[in-house]
Amino acid sequence: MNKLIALLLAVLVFVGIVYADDITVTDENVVAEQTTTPEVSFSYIFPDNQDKNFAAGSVAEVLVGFTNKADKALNITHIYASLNHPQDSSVYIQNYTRGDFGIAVEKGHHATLAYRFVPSEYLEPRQFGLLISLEYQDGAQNYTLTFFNSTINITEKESSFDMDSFFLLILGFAVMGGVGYFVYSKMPKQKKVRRTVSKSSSVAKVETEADTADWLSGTSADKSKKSIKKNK
Amino acid sequence: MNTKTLVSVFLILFVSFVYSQKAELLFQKKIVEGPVVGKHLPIQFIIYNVGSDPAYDVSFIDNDFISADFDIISGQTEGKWETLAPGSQVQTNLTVEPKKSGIYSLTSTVLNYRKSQHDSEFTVSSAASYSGMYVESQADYEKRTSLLVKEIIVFVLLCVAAVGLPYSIVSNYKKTYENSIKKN
Repeated sequence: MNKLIALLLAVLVFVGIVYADDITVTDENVVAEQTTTPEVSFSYIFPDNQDKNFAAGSVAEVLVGFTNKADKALNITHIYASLNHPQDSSVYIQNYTRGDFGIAVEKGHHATLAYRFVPSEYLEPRQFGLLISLEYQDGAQNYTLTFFNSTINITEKESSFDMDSFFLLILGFAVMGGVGYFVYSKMPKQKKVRRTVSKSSSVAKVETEADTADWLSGTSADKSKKSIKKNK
Repeated sequence: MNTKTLVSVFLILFVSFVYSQKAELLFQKKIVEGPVVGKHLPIQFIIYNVGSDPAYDVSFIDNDFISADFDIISGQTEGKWETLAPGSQVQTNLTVEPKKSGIYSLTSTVLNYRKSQHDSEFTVSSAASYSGMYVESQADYEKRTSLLVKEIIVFVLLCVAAVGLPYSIVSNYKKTYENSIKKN
């Protein structure tokens, strides 16, 4: 009988551990560490970035669940985020705009808060640390709690214009042009029929400036005048 | 420790474990396109269960778009589901047409659900966003996104005038004169 009970306890503990691992989103440990903090619980989700991959230059949204378990109303004032070095969170790479909420959550109530930020499009695609904090107050004291402190991946923004495909297209055109030129050069050349049109001699003779420019005699320009006459 | 004590401890732990499993819902009001006066605006209401237990009797009502400033084209501003499994999501769509430009706050969505089958009390959740929704006027939208056809036509006409006038003078001169002498 004792063995059976021990087995049941072991199964219970195992199931508890498994379930505790599953609930990675809800993070009540953070609250437990703050002894003076009013009893609240947080949860969060990145609806469009659940795999923690964020495209540089795109809007990222986080939904924060705030449950007021205290015996009085709490006022959520701000949510803010920052992008930090993945190994050293004291190195700030980007600070995102602080969202002013000013929302009162009654005791026993729950609120979902949406916070948006845009990682810079100039960020290199690699790992960064992301810190998201929430500030709230109970009328007497302000509290700040960082509910998300983890490493995320910044990825390249998906674009319809891709340099690789652009150069591939140019290469394709070049190959086509080369093939076209090769085929054209191998084709038998047609004899070109030249039509010689005899110029009519009935062109009205117009006295040019050179013919009438006597004042040019004795100058270097006079030679050209003479050569023109010789040609005639 | 005798058998009875162990069994009672086990029962207490089991019951507390079962009761500690709760559902937790997060609400998202997703507006992808920029709202413009006179244009259809699709809105998605999405509810995520991030807890470890199914949520029961889930319902929401949104009053942000029930006003004279919006026409409801299709969809509903409220939804109801019997259960929502953990790690899953449900959504409803709404299409509205803004009638007035300006900034609208998106704060009046209320979500009700029971955290577990044993809970008789409903959890009340409100959805909030710090940034309001800016509805752009038609004129601003046109100015921002139009192909600028009028401006391009005026630019082409000015270019034609600036190039065409000197060209017509030169061509006329060439027709009339040859080597600076007027043709007969």
